[in-house]
Amino acid sequence: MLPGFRSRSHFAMLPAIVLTIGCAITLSQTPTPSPTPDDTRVPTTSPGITSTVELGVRGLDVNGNENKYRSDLNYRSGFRVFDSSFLINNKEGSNNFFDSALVTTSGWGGDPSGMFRANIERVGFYKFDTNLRQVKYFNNLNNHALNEHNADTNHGFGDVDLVIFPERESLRFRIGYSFNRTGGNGGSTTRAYSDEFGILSNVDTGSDDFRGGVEGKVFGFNLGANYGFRKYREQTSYFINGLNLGNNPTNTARLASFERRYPIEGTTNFGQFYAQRTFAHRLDFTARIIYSLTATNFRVDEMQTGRDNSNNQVDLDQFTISGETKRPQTRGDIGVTYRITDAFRISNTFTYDQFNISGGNSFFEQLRRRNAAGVALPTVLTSTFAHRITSYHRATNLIEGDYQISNRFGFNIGYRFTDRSVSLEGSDRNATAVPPTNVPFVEDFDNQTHSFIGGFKAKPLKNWVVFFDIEDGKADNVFTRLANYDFTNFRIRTRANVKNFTFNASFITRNNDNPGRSVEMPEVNLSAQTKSNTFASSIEWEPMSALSLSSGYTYQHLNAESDIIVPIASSVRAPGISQYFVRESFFYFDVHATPIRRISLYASYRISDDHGQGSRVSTRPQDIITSYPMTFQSPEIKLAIRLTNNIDWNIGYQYYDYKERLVNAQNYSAHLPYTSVRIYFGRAADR
Amino acid sequence: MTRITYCGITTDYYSYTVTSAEMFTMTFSTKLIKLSSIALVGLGLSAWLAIGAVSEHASGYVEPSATPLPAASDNYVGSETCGACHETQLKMFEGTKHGKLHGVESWKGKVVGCEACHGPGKEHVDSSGDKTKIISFKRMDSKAASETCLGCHAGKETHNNFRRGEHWRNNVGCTECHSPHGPEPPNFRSSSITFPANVAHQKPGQATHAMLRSNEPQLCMSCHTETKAQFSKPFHHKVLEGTMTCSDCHNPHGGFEQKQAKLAVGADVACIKCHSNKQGPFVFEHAPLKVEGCSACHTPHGSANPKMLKRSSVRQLCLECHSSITEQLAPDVPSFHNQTVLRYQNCTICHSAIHGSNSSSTFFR
Repeated sequence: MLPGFRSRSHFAMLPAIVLTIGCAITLSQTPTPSPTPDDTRVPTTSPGITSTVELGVRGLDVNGNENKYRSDLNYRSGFRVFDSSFLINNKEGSNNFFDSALVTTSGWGGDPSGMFRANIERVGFYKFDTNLRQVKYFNNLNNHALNEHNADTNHGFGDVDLVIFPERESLRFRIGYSFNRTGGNGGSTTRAYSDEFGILSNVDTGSDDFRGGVEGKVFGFNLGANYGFRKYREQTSYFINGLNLGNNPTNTARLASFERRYPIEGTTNFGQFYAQRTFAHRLDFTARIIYSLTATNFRVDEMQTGRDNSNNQVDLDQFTISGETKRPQTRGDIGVTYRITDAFRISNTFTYDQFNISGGNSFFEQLRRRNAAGVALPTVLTSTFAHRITSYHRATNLIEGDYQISNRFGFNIGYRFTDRSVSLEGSDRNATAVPPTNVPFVEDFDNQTHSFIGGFKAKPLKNWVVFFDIEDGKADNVFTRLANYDFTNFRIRTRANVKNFTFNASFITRNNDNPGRSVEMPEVNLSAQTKSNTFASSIEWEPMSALSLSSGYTYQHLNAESDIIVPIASSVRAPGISQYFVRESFFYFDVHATPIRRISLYASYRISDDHGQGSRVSTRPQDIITSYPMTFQSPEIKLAIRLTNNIDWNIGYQYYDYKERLVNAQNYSAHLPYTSVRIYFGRAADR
Repeated sequence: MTRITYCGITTDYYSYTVTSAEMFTMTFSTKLIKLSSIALVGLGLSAWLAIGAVSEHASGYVEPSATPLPAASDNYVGSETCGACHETQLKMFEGTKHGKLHGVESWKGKVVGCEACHGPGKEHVDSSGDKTKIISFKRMDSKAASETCLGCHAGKETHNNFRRGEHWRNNVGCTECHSPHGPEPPNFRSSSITFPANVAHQKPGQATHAMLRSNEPQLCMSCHTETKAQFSKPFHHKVLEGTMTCSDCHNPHGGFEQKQAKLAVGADVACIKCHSNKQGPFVFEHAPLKVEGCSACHTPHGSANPKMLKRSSVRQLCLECHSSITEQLAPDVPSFHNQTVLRYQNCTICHSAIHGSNSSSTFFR
């Protein structure tokens, strides 16, 4: 039993284990076929068509919490194109429209996500790439936002890029287009009258990106200039269907009607310029500068009626809010590498990033009410103006050297310095207060951090390699905690290949320690510590062409502890502790076998098992101890029968079992049988 | 003004209040000095390196690849001669982009074919295939082999920082992922219905197109094994399913960004490319969004926690910053947010526009 797994048997593994043993026995009784030398095959890059497509039908039976199933997996029953691949290579010099065209797809039909990619090119003339994707996003969970922030949306997104004369050094052109479209039904919440109300939404957002550029070589410098433009629009509207009593059971607030229109329009214009040159094959120089200007403007029109928390009838509560925001941003980067000798290099990388977010809005509210006796109360008008500026700059310099002692051993060391400042200033002006008020504020942070890096790669044997690297110092993730982080990251990986056996292992630690004090009086300690250790390993073994196995095990051990200040009663704030734990084991194995020529088998098993916090529970209201203890496993088995060289018939079964060890557990299990045919065209049928 | 007499000496002290504009000027000046110092050091280093490079150039060092065919090209034998012994490699190579360069107008007169990378082959041929008379990448370390590739590929924006990227730093060279002769994938094997199979002879994929040794994500996960566990969690980006690839967010060839992340739409983080509604800018920014990036709160590869959050409880995530750390950037939780009451344990129920809002400084809408 692997460490970290509970002792109860995972019965779902049984079919896969039986299959594996069965295959091994069958194979041991089957004469080993003479391996077909790879060099007798016509290379994939030779002229001709190579294509395969798998299409079929999937069934679905979900037991337990279907909403959680759909939030996690969302596979549906019905017909689908599981995957397809189509490659056509034309003869060289045939003056065709393209040299090669590759089209691949997966997941179209009953899958929650699908992609379509096309890569068409004619060497020396153009290169065309497109990548279209769709994700059906479903979210309905009882342990997040009181199950009121739900979604059932479609997200379509894609990229289309064309490069003219891609292999020409002197001059190349590129144009591209990307898009995002999200639509469907959503849920959100609105706050009013000391209460919160679940509301519905028609989600409608989208963006279109256009880009173009020119690249080439001038006076030995590789230069490139690109310009891009994004147009963003959001037309999501929010509403309720009928009387809404809100989440707060202790007051009289309710909404009889609610409607919010919140159109947002945004644009981004950006320009990028880069230069690169390698001098005498010794000195490599790269510089890049990016300037972007992002702007949004918006208008909120919101109306609601109902009853407030003082039991007054709200005849109209109307909000009109409008404004705009801009964010100019500049990034500049310079990288230099000098190859002092063939084995010794020094590099310096300097990056600078700076932006200012400046925006404001005008807010107007008109509130008309009647008291419980039906007497109209004075109309309340509120008019405010707010303005915010967030300024940021960050400069980082990394100097590093690497030395290759032999072709079996090399190492590197480096030092990184970062200077960063963040400031927030703003003002809130209330025009309807008597007298009018204006509250300005400003707060800024400036920190410098230093860190050191080092690492090596060793190749003790021809087929065995070890990678190691370490980074120690201070980070400037001020918002994880607003002081510097003392961190140590350590990583070692190894990979070995012996004949048909590949072994891979890695061990990664990330330790952060951030001592601090509160800004409020009396001062209290506010330290934050995170310790994460991850061990991962995998093996792949192909003892013969008819059998291959791969398996892996990953264990993550995470302790995060932060001092926090928690309100635990009206006007009572107590220092407490926040702890978060991960004790996750992940195990998988895959088996491919072809016991006889016409039959091939696939079996796999995956399990994630997180024990989380174990028996730790908080005994004080100001302490928060959490984790997400759960077990998620999915065995799969598939039988492929070769009917002809062109057609395989597949039957398979997939099972998902999810169990979480939480209050109101959202457990489910799902059976997904399927059958399909895989059709081979062109050279793909030469099997 | 304050007049102080000490030891018989009278001195006038003037009190002076620094205005915010003056404070800005002083702060700016200090920063300017710091940045100027860094820039000067950088400039000096660059000049020193450039002098070294020019003197090296003067010593007669010749770039081995993508150069015009030398006038005395007797040492080059041509790919057909190589193919007499290395038939399989040549057959595969001819179908690749590398193998088609000889037909490209802009490459006329340059060294193409096998000898573009392996160097002139005459001595190798004359010595009946002496392996020491030809450039062999099997005997080179990763960086030396990569220098050959960069002789042509360094000028592309995506490749410009390979020499300073994470892979380079850890000695992972071009040929660890790419097969310059054109990969010849194995035969197709039956595979999972939800996780598309790797590239196969019968099922060409992105590996075929980009001369990779195998498809993403299988290629990346052959070293980054721990990510397979992350992408197998209940909530994850659809990488194992094939809808996304590692290189959608990361540039394997390095870059100026940490973790070799890509930029999107100019200077934004990679997430903004698809999650365009989080781009803003908002009148009221939730500062971590732009300043720290999405990974301040989310684990992008996958998580058991809803919304791929770093904590399973939203309030825990919020309270770890909003605990009297600062006054404005991460303001304290008001005392009426009694955490023993269920309503107040779900922060985003009220603060529903948590990524940033145009209309509410407290992210209410």
